[in-house]
Amino acid sequence: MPTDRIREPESGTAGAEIKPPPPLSETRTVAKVITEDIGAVRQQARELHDAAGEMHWRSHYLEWTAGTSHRGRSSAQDLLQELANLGFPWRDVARLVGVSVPAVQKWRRGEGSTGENRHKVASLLAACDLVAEHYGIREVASWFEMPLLVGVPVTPIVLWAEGRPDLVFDYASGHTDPEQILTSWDPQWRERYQSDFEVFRADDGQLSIRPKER
Amino acid sequence: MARDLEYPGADGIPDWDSLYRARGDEVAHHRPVFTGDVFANVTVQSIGETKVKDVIVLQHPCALRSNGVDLHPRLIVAELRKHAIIPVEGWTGHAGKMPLPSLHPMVTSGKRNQAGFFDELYLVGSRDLELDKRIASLSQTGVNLLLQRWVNHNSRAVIPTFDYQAVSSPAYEEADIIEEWCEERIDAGIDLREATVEVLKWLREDAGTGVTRQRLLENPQSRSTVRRQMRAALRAFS
Repeated sequence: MPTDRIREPESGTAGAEIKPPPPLSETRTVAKVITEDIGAVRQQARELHDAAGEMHWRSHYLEWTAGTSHRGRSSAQDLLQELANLGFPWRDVARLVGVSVPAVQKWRRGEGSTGENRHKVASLLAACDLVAEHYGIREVASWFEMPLLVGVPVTPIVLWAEGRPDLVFDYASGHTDPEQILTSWDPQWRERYQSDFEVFRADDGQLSIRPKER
Repeated sequence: MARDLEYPGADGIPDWDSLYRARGDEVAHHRPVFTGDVFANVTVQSIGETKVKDVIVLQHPCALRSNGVDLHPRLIVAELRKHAIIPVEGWTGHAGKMPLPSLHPMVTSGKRNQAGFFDELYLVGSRDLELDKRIASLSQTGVNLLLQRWVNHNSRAVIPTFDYQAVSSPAYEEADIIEEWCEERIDAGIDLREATVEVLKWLREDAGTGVTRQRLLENPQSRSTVRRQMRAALRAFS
């Protein structure tokens, strides 16, 4: 390694010691080329990573839509029963499907739902099938309810309800860092969920809120 | 980050419906009384007299009941009156009110939109909160916004709704479970009080993990387990 060519870190603010760069030697020219080559490889790797991510989303999408068609053969009542067996609360089912809680309760009692809504319920169940089968998520309802990061109240339910199944599948796959997923969802998530307060268990055993210590 | 009072919706777009769990005929009779429930024509106690008002329950979820089943004898409520829709940018102000736009979605007159007034407070005897007079129950979003505004009115502190969510969600979860249990058991011929006592006994049992099911509801990770156990227990009755 040409250590004589590596500039030592600055140890002070002595502006007088700043000298113009020396003329390029042959070694430095080679290093420059290597640096450019590695930069190009990294760029290709990034592009490949993005292309693979897009391909993965497409494959998820195809499998999910096929699963939705399969699930869609069942009645809305049966589909809701399956979601109940997984442990979903009705209010989350309503949120995930984009309807009110009373609407879901009517479907449970066998009152008719529209084809569009039945399709939405089937698509949710197909997504549960997909993440359980591919990524070994056993407690699917629990997984949907858990925040991506501790202290940030964004769950797969939130991502799904806001129309981002791509992020839900990506998160389930484990290929993308949760922080990156949150940034894709909302670049301002850190500011949005910053709080001067914290939740703690008070002396009476109840969860309570207090200002954070500074 | 400086915080303002929040509004239902996102990116400046209102979502008034997200305030409510149910309105009008859709309110489940067997759901336990909860923070933010709206009652019509309730007899309230004023200084030296009683009045009949439409009201919203302000008591915090943890302060509604003494034994889990019975409401405290007297609860704090705020009067409801019709009020023009407050646009989202106005929710940072009007700190003395809880806006309830589209509370009556089928009504086209000005009565459609209401607000709870924090400076028009009353005590109400819990026996006067008859369930068939309940005309709306709030969603978790609605409850969190109500708590944020009510605490701000009393303290000037603005606490993010997601902090309220962390504290109030176990109680909301419990209310959901009680509602579902009671719905099934009432269909099986048991009365509401008996069903409520039954489900609370079940919630206070150790689920085989060393802690009660009620305590398990505090952890989002274990809530689905409790729900599955609840549905299995209901199936076992039939």
